[in-house]
Amino acid sequence: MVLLQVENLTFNYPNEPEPVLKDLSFTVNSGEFVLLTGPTGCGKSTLLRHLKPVIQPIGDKTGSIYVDNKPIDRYPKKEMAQAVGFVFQDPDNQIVMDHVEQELVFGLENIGLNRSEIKKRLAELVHYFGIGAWMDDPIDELTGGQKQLLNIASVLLLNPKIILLDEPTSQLDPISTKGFFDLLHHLNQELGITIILVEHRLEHVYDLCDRMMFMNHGQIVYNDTPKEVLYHLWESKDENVKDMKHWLPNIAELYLTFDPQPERDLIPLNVNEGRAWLKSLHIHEKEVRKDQEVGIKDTILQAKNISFKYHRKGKKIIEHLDLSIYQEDFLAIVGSNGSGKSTLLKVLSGILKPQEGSIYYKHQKLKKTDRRVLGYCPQNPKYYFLQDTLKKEMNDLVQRYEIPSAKEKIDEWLHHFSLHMVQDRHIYDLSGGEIQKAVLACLLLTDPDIILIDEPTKGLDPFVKERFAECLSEINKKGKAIVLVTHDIEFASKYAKRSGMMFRGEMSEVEKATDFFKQNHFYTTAINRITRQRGIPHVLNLEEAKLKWHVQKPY
Amino acid sequence: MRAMSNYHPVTLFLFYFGTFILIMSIQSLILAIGCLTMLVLINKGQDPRFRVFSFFIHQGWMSFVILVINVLMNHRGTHPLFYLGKNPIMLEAVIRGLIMGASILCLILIFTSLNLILTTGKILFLFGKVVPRFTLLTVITLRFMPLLRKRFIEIKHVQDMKGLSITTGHFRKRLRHGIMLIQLLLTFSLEEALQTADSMESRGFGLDRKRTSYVSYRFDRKDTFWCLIFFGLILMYVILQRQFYPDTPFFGYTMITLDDSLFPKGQAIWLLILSLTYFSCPFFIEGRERIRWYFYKLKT
Repeated sequence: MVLLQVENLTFNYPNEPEPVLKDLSFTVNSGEFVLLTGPTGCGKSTLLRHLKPVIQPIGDKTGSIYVDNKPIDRYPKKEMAQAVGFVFQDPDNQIVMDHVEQELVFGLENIGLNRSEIKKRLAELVHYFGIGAWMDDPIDELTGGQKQLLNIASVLLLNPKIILLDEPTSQLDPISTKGFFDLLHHLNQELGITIILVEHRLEHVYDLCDRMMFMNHGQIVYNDTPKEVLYHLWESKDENVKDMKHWLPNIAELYLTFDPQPERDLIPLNVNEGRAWLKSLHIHEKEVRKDQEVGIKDTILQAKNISFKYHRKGKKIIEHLDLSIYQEDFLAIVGSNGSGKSTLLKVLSGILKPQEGSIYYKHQKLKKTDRRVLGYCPQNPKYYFLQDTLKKEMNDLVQRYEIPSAKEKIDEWLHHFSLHMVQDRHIYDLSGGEIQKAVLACLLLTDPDIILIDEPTKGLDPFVKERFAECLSEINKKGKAIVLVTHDIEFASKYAKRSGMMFRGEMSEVEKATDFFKQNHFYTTAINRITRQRGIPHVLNLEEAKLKWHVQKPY
Repeated sequence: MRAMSNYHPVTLFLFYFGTFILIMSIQSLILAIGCLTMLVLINKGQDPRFRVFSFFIHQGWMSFVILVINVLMNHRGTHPLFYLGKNPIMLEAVIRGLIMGASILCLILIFTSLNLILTTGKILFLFGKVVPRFTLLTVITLRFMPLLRKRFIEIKHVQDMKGLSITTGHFRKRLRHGIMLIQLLLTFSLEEALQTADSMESRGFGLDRKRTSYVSYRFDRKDTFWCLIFFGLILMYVILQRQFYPDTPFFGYTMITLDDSLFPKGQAIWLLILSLTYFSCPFFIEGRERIRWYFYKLKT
């Protein structure tokens, strides 16, 4: 049964030469789980917003959208509020009230339901979600994952026919993300709720959804089952989807790279399928010359026995931690939420002063005047910019630090990160990847020795992530040490030289990144999971497999 | 001591309204100190984490400033202590300043307690029908306060790293930095608030004038009882106060005489007793609950 129908939808933002959405037509059936994906700026969020009239962007629109065979614009507003639910990106911004229970009933109160009906729906849903324990809690005390759960719950209370989600997990850690997707899967399977999810590449979504729509430049390029779309993305020489191989999940990419005769229906999407496929192959290990050891150079930044807590009576966030950072180091610190990673970064940068122990920069105690040698990129890069454009910000910095030959430096970094096109644009109009690079460009103006980055890959699409990683690698090669805190294991395993894990304020042994991730069971890459202890050469990611594997056709 | 929060919002509102009237009309130092003590006890009882000492350290400076200003500006009275230049420093002014300082502290304590007991749900219930939009706006603003604080700390850290410190350096520079940070905080928050607005609208906010309220409170016998008590006590206090100070306005800055404010006699003692009784109501409520529980356990 067709639930949603879009016909020839074209949309143009005011004062933009080219439409964002170009003549889109598609249908979504009742009970489907659709993944809508594509590179940043392809128009997927704009499309999603069109499906909910009250939050439609302003501009020129032609074409029509039907929900239940009724044109969406003529749908009664009150029914519309209930029929289509929308979950936004940021867990904090969409919460209105300050207590969980009030937030849940907010929508129901708006549509004027009476008390007993609200109570009934609430009781049912709270039971289903198992959130009874925190019904009376203030919103403030919830974690990001819990907040996003609350958001979807409060939308579900309105009994929607269809739920639209706009990158709902971009602010969550991998464990919460997994939990959130499992929940979506349950809602779809058990309650038959239609779901349209806008997301970037994420390992396990492909396995959950029924259909995948891949957008680029305002058009839907592919609209098929995930396996079919992935196969097309791999095979296609089409100009429109060039360089889109990044969208393939790792296991699928491994399959398509190494299987002699790949078939689209057999593309493995999860660990079990991946293992089953590997069984059918004969893989020999190639002779690889030992890759270079991370040359231990001089220690540049050192934390000695530091402890930190925010309040006198609070619990210790960091406990007796030792850490050394070397010249040209690339250290990735992983760990679950609340393990103290971000706090450690702030302590290392000198923003927070540890209660015990000290930080040494080149064997001298870190002083306030040393701040120029440390660059700190916050989790939310928007907090960095005081001026409204990148150019103004850079000029301001140059003046404040009295940097010589400023003009050349500014130009150099703008070109290096290919930001000269957007230097006069308002900061808030930059895309996620651009704003990350913009912070990096600003930091590099003062020529720091160490760059500390908090969660750089949050909400970036795979392509942008790759570009960003290249930028990092380049400045790393130029002799800057990089310390980053991340949830993104694939990213860390691919680019970091050394890695360590934080747990309850303490740091595990910092090891060579490849060794570190190979030993892990949970905090590791999907490819590591399918290849470990399988009697085949154990690899961490595709790049390593390409180096080490020699695959023979099965007999 | 949270037994009070089980009462009807109207009862609670009446109680806090009463305390407000009492505090605003204090004319004697003894009464001010008495009220302050009671309010500290109430707060301590309601929130064991309430730290008395640090409260006086953090909030006391404002009272101190008021005291000093009052002493310097107010020269009415009959007991000069000493002369500062040509201006006499009056004992009356000192006492008046102390009363005002204590009243300010009392008001802060009232709102601290109110914040704890009269939760947003209850505020919505009380005013939601009368001024719905305004109430909702207030509630949402309240929710954003902790969010803004968190963001500001984050921004402060990041900018501190860039060399824009608001804790060190020249005063004017710090001030300028502070303003820049606030500007960033507000621009950022406004931008983010657009999403809040979208989220509200997409869940049907503002569609129907008849917004229902999920939370309901029952006004039962104990509420009637306490409402009558509160109302009676306040009424008696007002009448007595009018009789005792017929010439001075009920609220506001009035002249005091030493005798009245330091050594209450006759009716003034009644005023003191009345207000202290009023402030001990929360303890009675708590006590009643405990006694009931005790007997309940005894029976079963």
